[in-house]
Amino acid sequence: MEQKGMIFDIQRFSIHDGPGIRTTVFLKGCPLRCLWCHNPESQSPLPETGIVNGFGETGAAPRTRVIGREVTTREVMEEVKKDIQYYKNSGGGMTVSGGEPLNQPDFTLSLLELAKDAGIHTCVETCGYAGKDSIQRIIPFTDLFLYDYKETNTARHLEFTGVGNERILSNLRLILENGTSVILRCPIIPGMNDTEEHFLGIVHMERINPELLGIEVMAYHDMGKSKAAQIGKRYELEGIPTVSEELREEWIDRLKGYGCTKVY
Amino acid sequence: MGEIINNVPELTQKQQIDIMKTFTQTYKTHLGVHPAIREAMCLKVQFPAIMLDIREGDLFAGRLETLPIGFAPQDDGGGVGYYMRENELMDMLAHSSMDPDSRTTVEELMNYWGTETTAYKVRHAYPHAMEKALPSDEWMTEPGIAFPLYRMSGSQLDYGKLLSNGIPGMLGLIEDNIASFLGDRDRLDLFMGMKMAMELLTDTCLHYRDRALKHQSEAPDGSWKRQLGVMAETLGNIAKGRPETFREAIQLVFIYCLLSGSNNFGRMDTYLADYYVNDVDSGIITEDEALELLAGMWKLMVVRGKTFDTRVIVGGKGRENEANADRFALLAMEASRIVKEPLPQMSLRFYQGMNPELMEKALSVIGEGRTYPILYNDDVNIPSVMKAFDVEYQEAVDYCPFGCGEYILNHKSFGTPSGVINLLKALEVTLHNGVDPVSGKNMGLALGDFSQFTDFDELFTAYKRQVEYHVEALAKQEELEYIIAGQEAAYLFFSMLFDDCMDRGKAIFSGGVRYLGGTLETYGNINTSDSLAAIKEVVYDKKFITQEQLLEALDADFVGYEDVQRLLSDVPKYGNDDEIADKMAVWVHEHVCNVTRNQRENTNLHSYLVVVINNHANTILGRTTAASADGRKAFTFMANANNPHSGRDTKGITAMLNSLVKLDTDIHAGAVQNMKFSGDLFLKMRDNLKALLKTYFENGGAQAMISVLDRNDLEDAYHHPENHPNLMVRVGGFSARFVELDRDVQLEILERTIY
Repeated sequence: MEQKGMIFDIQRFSIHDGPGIRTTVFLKGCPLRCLWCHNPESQSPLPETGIVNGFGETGAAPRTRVIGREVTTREVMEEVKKDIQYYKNSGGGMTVSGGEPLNQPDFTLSLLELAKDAGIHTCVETCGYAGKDSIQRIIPFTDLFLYDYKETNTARHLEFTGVGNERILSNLRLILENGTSVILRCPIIPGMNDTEEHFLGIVHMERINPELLGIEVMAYHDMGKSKAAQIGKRYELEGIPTVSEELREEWIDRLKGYGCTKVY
Repeated sequence: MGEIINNVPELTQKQQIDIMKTFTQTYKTHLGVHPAIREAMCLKVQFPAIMLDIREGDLFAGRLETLPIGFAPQDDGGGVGYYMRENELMDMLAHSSMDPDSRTTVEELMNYWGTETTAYKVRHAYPHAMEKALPSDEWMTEPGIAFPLYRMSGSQLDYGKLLSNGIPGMLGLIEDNIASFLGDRDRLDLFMGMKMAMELLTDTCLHYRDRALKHQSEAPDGSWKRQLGVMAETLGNIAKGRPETFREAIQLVFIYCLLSGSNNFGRMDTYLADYYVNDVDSGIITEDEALELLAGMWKLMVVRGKTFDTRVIVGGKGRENEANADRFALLAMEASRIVKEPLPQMSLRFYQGMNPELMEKALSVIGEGRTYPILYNDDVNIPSVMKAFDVEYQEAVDYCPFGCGEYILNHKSFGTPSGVINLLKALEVTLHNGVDPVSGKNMGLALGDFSQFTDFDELFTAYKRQVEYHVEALAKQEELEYIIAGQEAAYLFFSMLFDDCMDRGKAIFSGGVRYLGGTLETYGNINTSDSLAAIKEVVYDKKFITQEQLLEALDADFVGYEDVQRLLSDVPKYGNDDEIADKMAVWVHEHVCNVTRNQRENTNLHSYLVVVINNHANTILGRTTAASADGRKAFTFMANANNPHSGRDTKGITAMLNSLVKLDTDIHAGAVQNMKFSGDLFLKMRDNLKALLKTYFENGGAQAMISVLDRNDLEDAYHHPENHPNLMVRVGGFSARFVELDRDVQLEILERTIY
């Protein structure tokens, strides 16, 4: 059934959100308010106005741009299908990301169904903060979840993101018990969740969830800062530099030292 | 691998003037004889007189600096055939304290050649209509829609024939022909000319052998002395017999190439591979020595400096001993990896099922930032060449890119690009009813007042008529240029190594070469289609502005009309897999390609085909092209070849590649596709990168020219060139050190989307 949804981007040749060459559909609206959010324009479920640079034209003046547009699943799928050959040759497919895809559960479900109908591999990138029912409905049409694990300590999780992590953890079990593939994604932000407690928590996650395919360390990048400025939003983190590749490697080594085997 | 040892001038000004004077006297003395004889006599004055000496470190003999007056198929700045570089002679007169006799001589030479060069004769043979359509030759400085070019460019000689016969064998073939054509004066003279040219080749080898021996006798004991001994022996051997070794084969090819004035090396793995494999397998040389030899050849190519040419093609279908050829191809790519120079323009042809090692090697070399090899997809190109050139598979399989990317059939066809058309200027002039808004002059055809065109089709029809008018003139010009070139000279070194010339007993441009075709360089294609798409939507479909408002905005270069510029810029652009924008690009592409291809009906050319090749003419022509309806500001660069306008492809590389493959490859003689990748993607995401290229090629991608670099490096090189002396980029049909490019060319590259 054709659904309407609010998206803020469709990115083709996406190679960091799941295997192979993918098209990532970014849905607008998120129940979390992570302080480090690198897509602040994705948080509000409504369109908003941003100021962006010109067209690449030498010396063109800045201009305003509306971020967010309502589209039908058919329109999205037309775009997604254009690269089907690339998915086949690379083991890629479609990733639904956001924002939080499950903030628009019917739209997400419909996209996933249509992709599976077309023989396209599907990924859902989620923070996991959603109704059990929404999760259950998309499981049959999702080949791989890219599942955020942001903070072990639930009080701090609440502080950083605006919500506790209990529901997120129970949804993760639900997905794994259904036999669906999951890669855990751990954003690490210096001075916030690069703590001993959280690192041990990640190791613990691997231990109690043996079905996990992998654990990806996502280093903090400050690109959210300029994006927040474009839409006139306050950016909560000041003075935290983008994490170097070396530091990321250090974290990975530390996790491995604690016995983590699936981390990369 | 040792650095490049550049040429240093050896001839004094006096000696140069003497050679040019003798050259001219020889020319005059032989005005009444067969052009082949005249050419041979003139070449004898030129060679080996203008050959430069061997320099320490050279592995082969073969350096030259041409003089401002001489004979060459393609002289940069001097034109075609008997040429004169007038500016250099003017400089000579202006800047030196020359003795009065020399001054008089130079003035006399200038006066004489002023109306005697081949280019002059071509230009002055234009009928009135051609002159009207092509009023100027100054395409680099004057605004215009269409310009002629004077050159016989893109020769790919049959070096296999040269090597398998050697000089004595070639002389034997010529003698046989002389014997059989004793009664045919015209043919006899042609073969006599060839014989003299071959003897000149021998003399040049011996000249260099003597130089090597002289240096050897003076050199202190050591490797250089030994090297000179080997070089002398090599030169002596090829002067009197067939080349037997890899070293001898390279030496003979290189000297022949210099004498011929050919700038490209064709399918090198079809003629050098067996020598290489034989020498290595039988222990005559080691693999490392073979690499050193080939790198030595590469370095002399760099010294020669034909940046827009110097193609070396390896790989692909139709190579007789494919296993050997593949081994040579790997060696050639390795040589390009270690030499780290913009030359040669190493190009790899490939097909499904070819030894995968070649593509792996290619990606490694590209990944190191070499911009080489350029990739050519046989599975698309061979069928396309069959259709575009109207030839059978056995001939199409030998297609060969030369120069900036034009295809010809290896030593079977000739197709010099002798014309340039700026499609965006054609649209601009059409919008201004036959007036060039930059110069204010009348130009092209006046096809009606744009404000009176009531629908888009009227405009599009007028634009097409404008293009057709110029293409017709350019095709006839190409034909005429061949006729005059053929009347003036036999291009002996070409005629000896181009198919059918010796069999037919005719010089290459006088009925000798199997297929005499032509090519036309088109520029501004994508800005034209983006402009047309914008006009269609903004003026005609949605009626946001009127025709008059559009013209006002364009004429004001959008100053005070920024809102109009935004409206136009917001219309989807080619390069984003957008149906409407890409369809317009397809229309514009198919129109100009088909009109051009149809010119074979109006001329005696076997084919006349568009090449969307681009060197940096997109930028040069942009400098004289006003603001355009795609939102582009006046006098800025235009899009490169079939690529999206720099920075306008915003939907990711798959979208860009999907747009590219919509443009039919069956109707032209080559188009180039630039792709700029970050090192991160290219090196760390190799599997995705390979899948990306594989899919592009499966979808019909014909060609890819890949630069691997990082935006920070490019930006830093733009501001601090001193820190990036060796950053290589692919410009269009050639590669260059970024810091050596003009600022606006740098900007065009900088603004290209990096994936």
